[in-house]
Amino acid sequence: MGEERKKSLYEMLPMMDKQKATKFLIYGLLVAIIFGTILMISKSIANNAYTWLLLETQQNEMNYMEGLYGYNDYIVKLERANLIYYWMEYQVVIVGNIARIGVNIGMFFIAIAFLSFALNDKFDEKARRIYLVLAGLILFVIIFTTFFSQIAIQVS
Amino acid sequence: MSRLLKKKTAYLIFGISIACLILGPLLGIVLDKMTLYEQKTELIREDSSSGLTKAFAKQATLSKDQKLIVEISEFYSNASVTIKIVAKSTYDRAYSLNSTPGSITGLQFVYSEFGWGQSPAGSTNGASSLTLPTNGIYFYIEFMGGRVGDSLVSWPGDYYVIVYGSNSGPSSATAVPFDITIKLDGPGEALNNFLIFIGIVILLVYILAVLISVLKANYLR
Repeated sequence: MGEERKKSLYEMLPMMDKQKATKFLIYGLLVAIIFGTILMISKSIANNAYTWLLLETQQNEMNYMEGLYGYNDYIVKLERANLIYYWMEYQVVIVGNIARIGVNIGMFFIAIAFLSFALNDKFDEKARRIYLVLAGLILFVIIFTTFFSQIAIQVS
Repeated sequence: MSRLLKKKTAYLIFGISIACLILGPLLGIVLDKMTLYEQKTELIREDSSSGLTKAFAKQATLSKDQKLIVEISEFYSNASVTIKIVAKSTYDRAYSLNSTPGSITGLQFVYSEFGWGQSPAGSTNGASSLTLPTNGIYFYIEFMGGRVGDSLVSWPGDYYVIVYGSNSGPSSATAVPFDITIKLDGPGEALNNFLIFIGIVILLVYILAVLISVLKANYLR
């Protein structure tokens, strides 16, 4: 019964085999990449919101000039475009915070994987040291980006 | 394997989400305006000027923030028409007395004179009645009940679009033809926003649920 019982994450952390740790690394990377990409898309939308507004305003004005709709429809569409523009700028706050959680979870899995590699005596000493340094570095980044909002990795 | 990760479930959820995202803008365009009445060569007689019972009248009910749009044109020989929009109470009273339409005061509306390079505010005017072709041959009228400057004020209720006219030709020619289209704001905008919102929410919730399911299946148990 004891053997059949599935181990909890906490129980298997220190002595995780190579295969399981690699799985952690891949899934961690995947989660971090997905949320990172979402964050970058979100930032791109926010950065280009004003250009979108200019396009929308010009299209709206041209539609009016063509006689597709009247002045009050033009005003309604202009106001709606302004609202969408503000949302496009603000959504980065919501998406960014969710993505930050996702990236941190992904990085946590990567750190655990490297830690497991470092504790695995099947690797040679040098490699284990490198894995330990990598795990420490990732944990360092997680801690700093979690507790200090001013320190962040800037990807441009 | 989690039920969420099955191909069939994924296709179904993605299908619903994409259908919402496609249908939203599509219905938004189709149902943006609802045509209440459309008639090319609507015919009234000269006596429409002397009694409201003979004038063209079409009822429209406006809810809050709903707009009435009238496109009217007059290019038939010798014909002249006047358009007014009045409250149902005013119309009913004038109809029962068969008042002359000219004596009825119309409610305020705006009309746009479209043109390339024209600023929308600069090419929009307010009026309570328009006579065609004296004021112009074609008009695009927007009406919501009241008006402040070029902006409309929403006064929900029942209204009548009335058109009466005269024929300046020989006395035997009494026909007064004109073209008219009456439209109302439809539920297109609301449907568009609602369906796009639903589509995005379904997609995001599913992606998150799949992610949690993958993590749960592999590690978090």
